[in-house]
Amino acid sequence: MGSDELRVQVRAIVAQHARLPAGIDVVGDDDDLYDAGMGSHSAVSIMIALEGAFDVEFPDALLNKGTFRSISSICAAVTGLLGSPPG
Amino acid sequence: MAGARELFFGPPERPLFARLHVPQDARARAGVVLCPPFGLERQDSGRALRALGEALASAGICCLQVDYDGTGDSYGWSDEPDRLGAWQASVLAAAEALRAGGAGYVCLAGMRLGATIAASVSAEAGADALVLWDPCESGRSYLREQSLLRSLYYEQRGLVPPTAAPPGSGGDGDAAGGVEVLGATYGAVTARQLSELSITGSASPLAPRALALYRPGRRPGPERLGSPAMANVEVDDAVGQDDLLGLKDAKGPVPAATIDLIVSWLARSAPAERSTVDVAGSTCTTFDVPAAHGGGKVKEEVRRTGPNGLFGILSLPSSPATGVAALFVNMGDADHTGPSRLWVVLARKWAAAGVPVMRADLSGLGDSPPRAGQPADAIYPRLPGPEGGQLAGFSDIAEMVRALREEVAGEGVVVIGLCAGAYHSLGATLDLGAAGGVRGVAIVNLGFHPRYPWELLLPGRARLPVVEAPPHRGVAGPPDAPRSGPPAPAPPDRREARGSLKALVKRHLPGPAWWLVNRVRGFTPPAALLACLSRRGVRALVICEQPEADLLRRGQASAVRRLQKDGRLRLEVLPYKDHALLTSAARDQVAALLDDYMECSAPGRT
Repeated sequence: MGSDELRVQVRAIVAQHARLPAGIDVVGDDDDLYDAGMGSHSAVSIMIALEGAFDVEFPDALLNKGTFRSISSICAAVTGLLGSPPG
Repeated sequence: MAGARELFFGPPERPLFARLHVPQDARARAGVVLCPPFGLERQDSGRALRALGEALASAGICCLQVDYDGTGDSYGWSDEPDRLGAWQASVLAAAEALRAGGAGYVCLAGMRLGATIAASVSAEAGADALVLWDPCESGRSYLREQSLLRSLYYEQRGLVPPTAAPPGSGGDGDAAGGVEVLGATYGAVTARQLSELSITGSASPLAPRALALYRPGRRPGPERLGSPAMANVEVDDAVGQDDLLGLKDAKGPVPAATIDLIVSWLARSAPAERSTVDVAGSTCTTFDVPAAHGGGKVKEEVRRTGPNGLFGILSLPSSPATGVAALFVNMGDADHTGPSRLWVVLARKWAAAGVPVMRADLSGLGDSPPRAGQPADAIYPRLPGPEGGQLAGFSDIAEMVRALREEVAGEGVVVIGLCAGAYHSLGATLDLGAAGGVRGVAIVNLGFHPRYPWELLLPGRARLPVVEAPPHRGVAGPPDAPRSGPPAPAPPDRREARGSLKALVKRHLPGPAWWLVNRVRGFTPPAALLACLSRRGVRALVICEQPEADLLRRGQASAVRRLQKDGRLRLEVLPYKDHALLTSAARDQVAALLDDYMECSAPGRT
């Protein structure tokens, strides 16, 4: 999967689950999603949706604020998981 | 109209607590065991589960909402071993109680991890039907979601989350690998057993018929939905769960559409004929408190106080009482069990040591009904009628203090509250004073907002028309409920980080200058309330975070010091930014402070 395609998919998932007051269109890839209004439970919903969409599982080490801070950080985490061997 | 009653039932040495909703004539088509979520989700879902119970009873179906062993008001403590087995046994006991009470058709209905637990015992319980409301697909998925929530909660407060729960903190001996979630701690063995639970992992159908409601985006894929476990399962959407469980700053609405869907589905699947259903139980129970939690024998009774039937559970010592009682009031819209069940743990510990303790719901919250004309589920409701303007919570506490004083507390009552509960405790004890039966008050995490008209709490002023305050986070309430009460301040450090001149001045203005500002503005600082408490013979314990302590001392540092020196005020500052005590570290520290305060307040305590 190319990085652009991944980014589009991640933005769509964030748009659906982040419950951003101003919507996803005003949020840049490196903007802080928490500052944009994303709450903790939305981050959990995004995690679940990402795992379902990409068939990955975030390890404990990635279950933190930084992983879901921005579109870019999410893409980086997913890219890393897609490139990792299973198990 | 259908009714509800609370009862203790099940094994006498480990009594379970439940709320039973019954049709008006006590004749029901079926019985439902309602299995609540755990931790913070249990707190957030209380109103919705109560609404489901009421709706089922109105539809001719009995509903028994059980507190699992070691949760809510049931016997047990979270650090005992074999927690999962105990929770499952609780569900089985509830199902058996319904059958023994006459229910010929028994269903299990659970939300979140409660649904996962219900599914795990559905076959053993012989459930005729099963409802999975926003289920956790597996115990592992639940723990992972909670792990992320916990990390975010810690990090947003500038704290470093512990990598694991302290050994032994969640039961299962001293094995490392326990898991702390918001509002609960699970031992290593329990966490491992939870991880092995899977709704779709069963090799046989979960029940003869089942309904599974998933949040949008969380429905399992075709492979899981096609598993043998999911045979006979109808799948639909759980609407409104993100609002019910996911909002941080305001209560979400009860998901009425989902409740209607569940009731309709159960009504369709249950037999048409009715039978008399009555679950055997009692409004009182006696049990032994483990030595690790104080030791001794305690009697607990369901109490309804005053003309409006304020709900509370009174924990009584078996040994002669000290003459001093404690009263815990609920926090915000959470119930009488307190932050992560802390009120239950302390009530039983203190009762075992000779102090009677009531844990209660203010009117319109938890299990206490609203007064006629008063809105339900409002955190700061007014008294209806000619007394409009007076906050109902003050009257509620006054009624309970009077009742305790008459029955078990000749030496007075110590009133304890957190957040909105602290606000109500402060206001009520200012009215009552020592002459009215208050011996002390413990105020935990009350926001000392500098712009709030604190003079409204002074005795004699509380009946003035209430000034509308800025919207308070967490006081969404019904649309027609007036908003009042102390607004939650934006954390001062966040305000001042803006770097404006005003913020700089505020940060560096010396205390005497603040005293002058307050005088010029005619502003009553919150410390003045503590001085008033002292004049009325009440000793106060204030537990708060550093920013709140700074606000309390602003312009009043010398007055606060005098109160402390005289022993009329004890001010304890928490190092944790954990308003609702969702972390075990904050809970443990507050528990220790309350323990010590109670020891000083109740002489003769064993």
